[in-house]
Amino acid sequence: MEKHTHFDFITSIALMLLSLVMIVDCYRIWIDVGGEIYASPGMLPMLLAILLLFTSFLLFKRSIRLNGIGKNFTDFTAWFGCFTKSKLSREMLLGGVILAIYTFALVPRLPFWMSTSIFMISLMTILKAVSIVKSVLITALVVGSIYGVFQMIFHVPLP
Amino acid sequence: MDFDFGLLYHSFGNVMLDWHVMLMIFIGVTGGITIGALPGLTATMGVALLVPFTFGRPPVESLGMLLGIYCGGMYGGSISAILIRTPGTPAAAATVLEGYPMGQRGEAGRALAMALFASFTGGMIGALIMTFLSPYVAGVALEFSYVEYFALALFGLSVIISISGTSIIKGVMAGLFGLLLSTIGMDPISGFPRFIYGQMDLMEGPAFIPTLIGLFAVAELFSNIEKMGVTEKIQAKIGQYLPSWADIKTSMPNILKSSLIGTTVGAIPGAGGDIAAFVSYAEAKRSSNHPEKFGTGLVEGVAATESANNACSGGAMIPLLSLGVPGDSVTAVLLGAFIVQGLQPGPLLYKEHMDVVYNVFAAMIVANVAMLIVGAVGVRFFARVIGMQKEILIPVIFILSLCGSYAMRQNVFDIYLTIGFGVVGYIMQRYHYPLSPILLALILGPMAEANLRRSMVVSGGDWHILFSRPIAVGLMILGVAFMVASVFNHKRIEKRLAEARLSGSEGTTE
Repeated sequence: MEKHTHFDFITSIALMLLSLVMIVDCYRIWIDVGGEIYASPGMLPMLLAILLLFTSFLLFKRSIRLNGIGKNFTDFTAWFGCFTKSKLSREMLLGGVILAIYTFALVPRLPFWMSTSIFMISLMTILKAVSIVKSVLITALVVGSIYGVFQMIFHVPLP
Repeated sequence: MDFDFGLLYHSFGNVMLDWHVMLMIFIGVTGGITIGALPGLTATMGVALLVPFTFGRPPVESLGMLLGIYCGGMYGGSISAILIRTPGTPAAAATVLEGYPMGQRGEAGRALAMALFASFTGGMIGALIMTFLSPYVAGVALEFSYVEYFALALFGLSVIISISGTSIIKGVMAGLFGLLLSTIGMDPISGFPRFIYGQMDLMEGPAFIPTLIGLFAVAELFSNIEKMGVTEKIQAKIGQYLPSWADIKTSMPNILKSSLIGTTVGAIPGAGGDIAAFVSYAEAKRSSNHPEKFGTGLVEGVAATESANNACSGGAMIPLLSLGVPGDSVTAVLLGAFIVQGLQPGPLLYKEHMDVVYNVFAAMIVANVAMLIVGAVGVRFFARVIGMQKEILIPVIFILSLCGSYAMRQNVFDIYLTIGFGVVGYIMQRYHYPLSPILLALILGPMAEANLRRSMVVSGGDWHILFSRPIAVGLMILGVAFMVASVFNHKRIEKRLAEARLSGSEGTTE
């Protein structure tokens, strides 16, 4: 199995911070709403956040015991360096950018068939799936099927 | 609550005499086997993707189709396990052990035929046990008050440890994260908005279906992008569709035993088809007259694992229908399908919508028969599907995921939610944080919180109320016992793994 102690180290710190923010928020909820703590909307989340803080601390302690603070940082920096240089991560990042453009820019502005066609053709081209002609044909088939099956048969609205 | 044979008879009529329902079941089964056969796509993903598209249809049609996907997906996983040594679903992982060596020996057809027959028999036994047992469980649950419901939710949450995978602490952290997510939105008692930070779309909490699609479909797609470029060509010849009488006779005791094991394991919230298949495989090997031959390609091994994982689906439906607590990740998604139809699974479903419950029983049984027919007729087609390029599949499934998350509320915010949870799910999967605890926590969290708070308000903050009713105390003790047993089991497995690693390294040194 892949070693990932340095990642446990980073995630445990992130989760400890998240739980601290939630504990403070829950305390604010208790003060805002008033009344007994057992009836407060912040009671259960506070309890859960405390437990998350505790378990994250256990994971943090374990990662330090196995690797030490310095080595965890060095390992994480090394991993990050490799990640930014690898071809796969660059391809994934490009896929992510196309996905973000489709979700945040194309879907709210263009009709579904147009935004989806642009997205599918570009993604299949980046993934080097098939030739451009084939990807256009596949896209037309998929978009047509989605319209036919979901909007006509199931009466489901599309984005 | 007594079983109503007359209503079951009527329900079979509703399902089998309505061509719409039958068509939906057959579409579901065909889609389920296809999804199951494709490595990386699971039945959970298939059901999660299609739930939003079914809400415009009557309950019997939409639930029939989703149950078809469930049954078909469980069997479909065995096809790629046998042909390319890659289980299509986690539940088919144990099938690789005997199925692949059979395929290598030129007996792929025989292995596939047995997998289909065993899946059908296991699925039928599980469905029949579900049909006859769940009304009685629901009858007991009808007596439950706030305190028992809170204890039931705690019991359900206690299984998080057993589904934590390689690290208990990460499983618990995932569960706590899920529970915290379930507290986002309006407080169930006072209506006070929590953790929404001005985002009104979060007032009702993170929408269930977009969250599910994000965690189980989009995250899986991201993981699949990493594993792209590997497409297996199928070499094996498939010339057999049903097993020989001799194979059936040899395997029948294992099929019956494994079906019972599968149903029992399935009925435990959180334990899924993968656990059922491995437990049954171990039992088949233990009770065999020739255990040394296991691993070389024995048809009994395929029969044991496949009957167990399909029986598991019937078992997992028992707690879902009678208690409102899902037995595995697929039934957790099915819970969403019931809610979409305006139905809340649990004991009250038997009081208020008895006809729907019996239609589900009938649809599940019919779906297993449909699986046998579609599986036998289409085995060559499904074997060919395995070779489909992921580069084409990924964009298509991605579009379906986004359409599905939008369809429920017609809100673009849900698409953003799906993408967000997809990224979170991918990172968690990549670094060995299990996802199932989040799902369990999202479902059981609101149930636990609402009933705990009501109990506290009723008792004026006296915690003793939680221990005042025998069934609640029994459920809590059961939960604690389950947690302790899971921790010990986990430690035992870790110890064995460490020993195996040690002996392996000594062997290498020598």
